[in-house]
Amino acid sequence: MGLRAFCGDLPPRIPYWTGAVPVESLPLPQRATLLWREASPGDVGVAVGDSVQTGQNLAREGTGLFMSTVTGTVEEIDSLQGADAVEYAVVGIKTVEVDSYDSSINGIEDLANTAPEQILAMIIRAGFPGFDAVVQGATVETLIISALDQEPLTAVNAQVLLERANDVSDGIAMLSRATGAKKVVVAIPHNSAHAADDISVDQAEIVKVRATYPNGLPEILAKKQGAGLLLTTERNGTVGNTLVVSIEHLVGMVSCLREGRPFVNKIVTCCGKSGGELKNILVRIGTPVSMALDNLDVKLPPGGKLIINGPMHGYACFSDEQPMTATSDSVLVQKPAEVHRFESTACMNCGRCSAVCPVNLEVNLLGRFSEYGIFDKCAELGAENCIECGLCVYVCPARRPLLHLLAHARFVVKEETVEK
Amino acid sequence: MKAADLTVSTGSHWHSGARITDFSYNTLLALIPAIAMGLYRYGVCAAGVIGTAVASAMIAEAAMQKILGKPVRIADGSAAVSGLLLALLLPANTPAYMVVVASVIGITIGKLCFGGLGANPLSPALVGWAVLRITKPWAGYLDFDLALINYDLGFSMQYPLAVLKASGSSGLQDFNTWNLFLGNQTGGIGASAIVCVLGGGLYMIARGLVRWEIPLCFLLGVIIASCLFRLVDSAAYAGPLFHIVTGNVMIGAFFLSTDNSSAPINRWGMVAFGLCCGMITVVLRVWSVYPDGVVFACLLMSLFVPLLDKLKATPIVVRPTRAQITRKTVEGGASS
Amino acid sequence: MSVFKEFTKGLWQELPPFRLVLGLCPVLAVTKSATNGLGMGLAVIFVLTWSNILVSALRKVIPRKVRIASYIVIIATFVVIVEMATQAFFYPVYEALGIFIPLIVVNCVILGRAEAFASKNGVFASALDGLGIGTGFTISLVVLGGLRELVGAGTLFDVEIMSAVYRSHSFSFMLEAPGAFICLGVLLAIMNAVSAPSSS
Repeated sequence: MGLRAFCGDLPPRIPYWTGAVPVESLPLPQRATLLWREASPGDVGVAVGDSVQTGQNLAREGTGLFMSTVTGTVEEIDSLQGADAVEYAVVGIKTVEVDSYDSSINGIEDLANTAPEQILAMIIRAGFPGFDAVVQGATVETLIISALDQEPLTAVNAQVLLERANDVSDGIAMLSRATGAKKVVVAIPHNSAHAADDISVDQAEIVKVRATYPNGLPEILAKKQGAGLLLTTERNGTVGNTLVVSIEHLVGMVSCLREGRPFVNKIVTCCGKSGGELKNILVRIGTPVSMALDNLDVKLPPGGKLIINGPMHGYACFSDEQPMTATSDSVLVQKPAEVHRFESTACMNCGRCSAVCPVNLEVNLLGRFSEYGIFDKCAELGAENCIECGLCVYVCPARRPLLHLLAHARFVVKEETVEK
Repeated sequence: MKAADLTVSTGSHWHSGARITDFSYNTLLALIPAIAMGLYRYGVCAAGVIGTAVASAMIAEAAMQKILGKPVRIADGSAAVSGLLLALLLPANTPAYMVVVASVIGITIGKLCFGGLGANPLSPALVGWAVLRITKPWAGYLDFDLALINYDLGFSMQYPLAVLKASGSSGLQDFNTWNLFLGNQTGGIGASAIVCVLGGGLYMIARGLVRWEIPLCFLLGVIIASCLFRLVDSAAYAGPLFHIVTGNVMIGAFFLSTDNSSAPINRWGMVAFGLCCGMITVVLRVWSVYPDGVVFACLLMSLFVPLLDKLKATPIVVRPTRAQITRKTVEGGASS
Repeated sequence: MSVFKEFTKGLWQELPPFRLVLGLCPVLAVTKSATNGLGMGLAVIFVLTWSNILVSALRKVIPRKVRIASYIVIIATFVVIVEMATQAFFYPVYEALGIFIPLIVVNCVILGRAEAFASKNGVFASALDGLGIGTGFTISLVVLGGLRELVGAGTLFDVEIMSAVYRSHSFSFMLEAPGAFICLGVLLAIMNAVSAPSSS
């Protein structure tokens, strides 16, 4: 991929995208597919044939928030088993051209005199992801605003930082007040110096982060910027105290509060072939990937890979009907020749995986223990801390499916923990 | 959903391109100067020893994998490297049967019995060499003064370490450190070509195939231990430079002790491993019956690798641990 | 039939050094030659059979809490008999076996059979068990010793088998302690491979 080979025990340098990638708007899809994680079709409060408005909450009373991003008629309600053993509720909506907006989402003109709780409630209602734990009553102690993209070949935050630095400053002030965070950190790539001057916020600390993978992953940001665990929901409550918000979502919040519009449009970076040019498109959440591919004029090669959310820790889709979600940052297509194939060789104990692991796991041992089903050893070695960044797979000379093995170990360890 | 003919897998979807063969083939490449020096010095005899060792190691591996019903993987080159390293430690006119016995035992007992590449607790080459070393009737062939008695290469044909053992550092006036460094000394076919081995080792480090910690700390350990001995009695014990440029120290530091599966993988483990290897080498040179102690030092320290690998950075906690979740449950139970 | 089984089980199913992996210390230490192995084996047969008989006969008398001490006393009695006998009649063997004859007292095979078999079974069955296990132990020792002696020294029962050239350059590694471990391991592996389908 034109990336530097691993040398010594230096982690491989996988740089983030820094240049400008202009954003092009895509038309509204004929049919939008909405996914609701960890929910079943019974939790959906609308029926087939109902007409829905943009921003309308489709969830049954009391089951949370599942916001429609389009206006139209419900065609299909189904469920889907994700690759991570999580159930999704699926709602297919036939769209109409002109949006009519749900009345419960309103703009807030006078931010300074509005109660923080009210602002926060409006942000959450407008459909921004990542606030599950806040909804359950967790307090945000540290707020990290990330101007880094999570993955290479992704230029969403990079472009937003170039285009809308002023809105970022407004957003930081607004969000830090809304969440009541004690500490606010703005993480910007080390090589985008000019943008740092544009962001001027009194109460926030601006930190330059080296723009290489995996420094943009939320877990790494939360850990490196002196904060604690990420805010997550567990089965019996919430854990952590740090909220990481990307600047794309942040400027989205600013627009949402100004104009009273829900969060329905997402910037997605597309790369049709390796080494090819990046292209940013603005799509309606729920648009199938096939529309993005048509826009790029890329045909899916048989045996190739369609990867959403980046080449390192993204996931490979089995269909181009996969819809974009609020957290889909990029689409990447690989030709069959570029697809990395795992091999069933034994670990040769070279130790590169442990050297590159950003959370200091002993991946060589974990891989073996997981392969042979010794999960209490995996728990001892801290398997639950794997952030699935994929670096161990990237450097493994034996080409072992380490991420698969570690994810399995993590899953089993978590299940066992819950059972106890 | 429309089924498309797509490949689905877990991440990462990129790969650095590294292969298992990178290690072995680059080791073979890095050792070419040492081999060339050996062939130049000792001629066809050396070629015979190297060829026998490599061939018997590869045949033993293939045969053993066939017998055990495992896929035959001699193409990964690790057996060839083991055979080659063994050959480079031996004198040029070692009888073929000794070479075959050493490399077959090294590969079968030392490696495949434990599960093959990556699972062997000891380096196969070292196991083979140690078997030869402790077989008393064959010891004469490994004594470089006796074995190479018919060679005259234009420099002192006395094995420097044997001289040191016999007459202390006062007997070393004939040896010039710079000459020894250039490889003008008797010794193993490749191990005595100090400068070539050093060059190959630096190549391996530059390619990132050998981590720098072990070689550096190995040499550091030799320096520390020899300086300590020198402090006690400078007349009886040789200085650090002499220890580094003689015998198997250079090949030991860069190639023998850095065998992937018999060395630690965490930084401080590697530092401790290297330092101990180096210091034990000097201790064995001074106090054991054998002139050189590199191989035994490496073998001894390899046994401590599981222990040394405990010297690791603790995992960074990014998710709630078991304890935190349990505490939550207890709190939740108490409040409800 | 079942009595016969008590005897034969020691020859394969419960072959002490390989199947039970008991009493390895003398197995590794004394098998430098087949003769030593045979001598040690015969001593063990004698001690094992008689101690089994005596332990079995006294099994209802010995209190459970002090049984190990009692077994040791019984075994030690026979060991002293063996030691004195070898010293008197087979002095070269006595010299070669050295400390390992007194150490039969704490040999796991003998203590193990006393605890696992003789203390629960009748006198006749215990005698056959002792005889069978002892014979198996002897055969193992002779095979191991013979192999090591043949490869390591080129002789068998001190008879020169290999040529003089071989004997002067013999693979004496096999006579060293590591050779004993490797030889035992290889024999164990072969034995497991042979009986793999029937076991488990």
